[in-house]
Amino acid sequence: MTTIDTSAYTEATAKPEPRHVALSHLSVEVGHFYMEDLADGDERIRTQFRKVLPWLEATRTALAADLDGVVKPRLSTCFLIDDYFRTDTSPDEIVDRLLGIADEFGITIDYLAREAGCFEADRVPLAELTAAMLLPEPPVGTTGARPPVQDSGWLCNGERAPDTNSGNQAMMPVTDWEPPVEFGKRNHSIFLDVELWKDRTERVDGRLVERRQWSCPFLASVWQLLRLGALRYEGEPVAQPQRWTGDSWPKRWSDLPAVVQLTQNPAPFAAYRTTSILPQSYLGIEHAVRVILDHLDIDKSVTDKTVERALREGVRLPEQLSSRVSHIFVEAPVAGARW
Amino acid sequence: MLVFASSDKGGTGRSVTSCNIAFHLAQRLDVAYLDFDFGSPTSGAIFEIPRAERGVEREGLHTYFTDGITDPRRLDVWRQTTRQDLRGSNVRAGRLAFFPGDKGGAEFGTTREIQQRCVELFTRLDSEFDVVVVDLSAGRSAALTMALMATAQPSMRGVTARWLVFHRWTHQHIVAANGLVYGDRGLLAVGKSAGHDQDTLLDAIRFVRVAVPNLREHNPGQTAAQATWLHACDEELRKLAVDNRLGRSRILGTTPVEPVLQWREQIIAESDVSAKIANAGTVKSFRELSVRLTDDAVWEGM
Amino acid sequence: MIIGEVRTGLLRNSLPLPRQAVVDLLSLRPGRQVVATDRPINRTVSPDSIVGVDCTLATEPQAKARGIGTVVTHAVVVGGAVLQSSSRTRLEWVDYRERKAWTHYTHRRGVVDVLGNPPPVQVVNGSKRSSHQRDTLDLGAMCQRMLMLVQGRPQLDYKPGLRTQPTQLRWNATARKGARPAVHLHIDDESRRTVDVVVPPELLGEASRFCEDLALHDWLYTALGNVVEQAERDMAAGTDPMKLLGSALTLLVRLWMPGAHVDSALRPLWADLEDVPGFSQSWHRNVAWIRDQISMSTLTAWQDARTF
Repeated sequence: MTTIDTSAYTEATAKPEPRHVALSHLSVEVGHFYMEDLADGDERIRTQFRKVLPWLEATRTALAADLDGVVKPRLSTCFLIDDYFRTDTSPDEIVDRLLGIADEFGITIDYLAREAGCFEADRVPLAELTAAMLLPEPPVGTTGARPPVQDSGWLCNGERAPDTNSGNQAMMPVTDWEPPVEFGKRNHSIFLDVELWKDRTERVDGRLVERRQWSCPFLASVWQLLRLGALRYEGEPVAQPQRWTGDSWPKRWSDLPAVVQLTQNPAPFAAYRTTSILPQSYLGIEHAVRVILDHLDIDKSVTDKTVERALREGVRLPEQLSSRVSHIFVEAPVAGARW
Repeated sequence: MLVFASSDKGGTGRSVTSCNIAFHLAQRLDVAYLDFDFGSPTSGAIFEIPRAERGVEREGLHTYFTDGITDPRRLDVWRQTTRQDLRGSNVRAGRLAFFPGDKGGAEFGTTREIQQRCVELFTRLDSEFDVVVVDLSAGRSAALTMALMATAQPSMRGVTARWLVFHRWTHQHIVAANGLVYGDRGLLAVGKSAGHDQDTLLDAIRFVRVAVPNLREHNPGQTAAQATWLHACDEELRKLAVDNRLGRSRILGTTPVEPVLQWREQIIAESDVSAKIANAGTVKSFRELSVRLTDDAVWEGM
Repeated sequence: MIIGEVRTGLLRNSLPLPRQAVVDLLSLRPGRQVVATDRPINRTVSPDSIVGVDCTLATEPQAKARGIGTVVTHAVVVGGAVLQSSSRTRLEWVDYRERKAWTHYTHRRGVVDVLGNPPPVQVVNGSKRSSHQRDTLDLGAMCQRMLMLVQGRPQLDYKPGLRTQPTQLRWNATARKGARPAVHLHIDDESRRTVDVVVPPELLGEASRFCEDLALHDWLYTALGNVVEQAERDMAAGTDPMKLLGSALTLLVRLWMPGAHVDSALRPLWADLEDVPGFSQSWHRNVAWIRDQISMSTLTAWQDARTF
């Protein structure tokens, strides 16, 4: 080709196409462990994996049936450890123990991820990145005149009960209470208001510092985005899985990469769809995750590419990210509150 | 430059004097005048703009703050005033934009959002006008607090802010003006808690003595005893002013008693003087105030 | 059809910002890129910010029109000195009546679905109304918010080199098959303008860039005109206008390049505007006047120095 582009001058304007990541058909999360769950003996872990096993098999079968023998199924397994809300344990005490128990049940875990890695991975602030993608749904009558209540740190699936009297002029009539309303409700509302983060002032070396603590549902949303391969930083993939090359596991969780590859040749970490097999008590968190995923302005060039690629191998993907996420809730004991 | 007009008490002539200062400034500069007297927005009457006499029907400053509209109403005084002599007085005059309150508007509580809107308004107008005169409600008002908080913001640090405190030449007014500046919950105390440097803030405050009787002028209707008594009073007030840290070095200027203004709050233009309705001294004092207000030498630290 | 608003003013900084500082200034969304073009003059664009809306659309004469969707806004800095913020949304007429799930709208950023089937011309006229009608789509607010966000950023010294009046330019672009691009600029008052653009459908996306360029030059033109007026006022009052004229030369003059950043297919629109009202001619006259004043003042100073 020797034809010249119609314009005589172009500049590298630093806006390359976002880069691909390798994708499996399905990413299955076989557990999301809190330090409390791990610190408290092996029995709880054992129960969880026992409950998970049949469902993991079922997802494998279901995937093969969906693909109908056209392509070889690519399924990867992962689990998430919470080192964000508590860091007082060490990988060298925990990881091998955990993998050993999984092995007892014949469960192969391909990837281990850290919840703190959903906050920041390879110095990329993933939580902040995701927060900047929030696109709250407007109540009827939103003209754009006022800033969306983004900096409040809450996101809801409807319209909150109106605030009665702050910032009003003096001597205005008092209004009656009105209930919150879920957007797109049929008859009645299931209104959910999710705390995304909390800002607090902490004393560090005698100085007061503002610190933002991200909520569990928010980090779990980042986790889903990572598993769906939907996050980019200036066009580059983030939190890519890395092998741990040390002789033994480190003492500190923060020394591990955000996502560690555990097996030799696993299917890719990120996938077209995700399934999470979790204790029942995660229902609330995952409901919140769904609300968050439905209110994000995702880089369209990334999601469009994924849909196209899937279609090329005969997989139809819904545009909506939250529709690619499914759950299986099992009866398994957990230690204390989840968030 | 932002100029805040404050007074401890009502009826000090704060609004009418600031309007006149704005009028004189606008002869050579682009000037905005903001009616922050939220409890009773009446500056429109002083500029003689009939449709904004007691605020505008909609989209005034109240709506800007409480309902979140983007562009508060601005009226071009030269075009909107019904006073013919103001309209064509100077072909080369700068702009004089009046930002009225809302008709029936009342004081409102300050929220973070309202505070933010205030910062935005000040920054916007400071980038556009040479001088922005903000007429604040009397006393320790929400408007005064809002102004002090807004001007302490980091994004306002490049903006010059000057504070005028208007008071009449009486014992009560002098004591009250002292309280407004130096007292508990006064300008300096609130300013400090908002993040102002107290000394810098103090350097940016000047007093304006309003309607001060001129005792040197011969008054044929006065008895000798009256004259002596008045002089003694005047002398006592001078001492009181110094004791209250309102002395000569802290004042921006003085305006004389003006009969016209006792009857009607209005702009005093040259035409009122040539019609022999108003005193030449009044116009002169307003002009001097406007000159000294923008003369940096007057505002050098003490 | 696209409707938009561009607000243009001077950055609150005493001197033009260098390229990298502008990139930092406009890095408003973590992870999203700032796009900078350097020739013929630096023009840097922030990532889009997106806001959801669901409200009445202004119509003239009044018709039933509800808009649901998203509006995108970005900030543009030209030559390190002039700041523009630009909000726009593409209107698409739909025949459903109930609001859909939010994801229906988030997937189409910068599109507002128009419900109620109002005649397009009435929606265009509504978007041009001189005063904003309460409770209707408020592009100006989103624009202004972006402007204030940038003006409050720590990269600035918050000291504008010149006091200038910002302008608001509201525009609409209609796609018409096979149409020759056409533009109409209307000056509403000293700070507000409205622009109608007609383009063939394949150029609709380029209209916003053209309108930003037009807004920039209209603002430059207005600002320089005001500087000349102010200088004349200073001279009449015996005040020295040299500082003012010097700042105007430093900040504004080199930015004049109509059409430089516009798609070549839309550049003929500039030619139309150069015919009537003839922007560049009067611009260059004002620039020449300013330079003359400065030369004369220098000459006088030099002569004065010689006589002593």
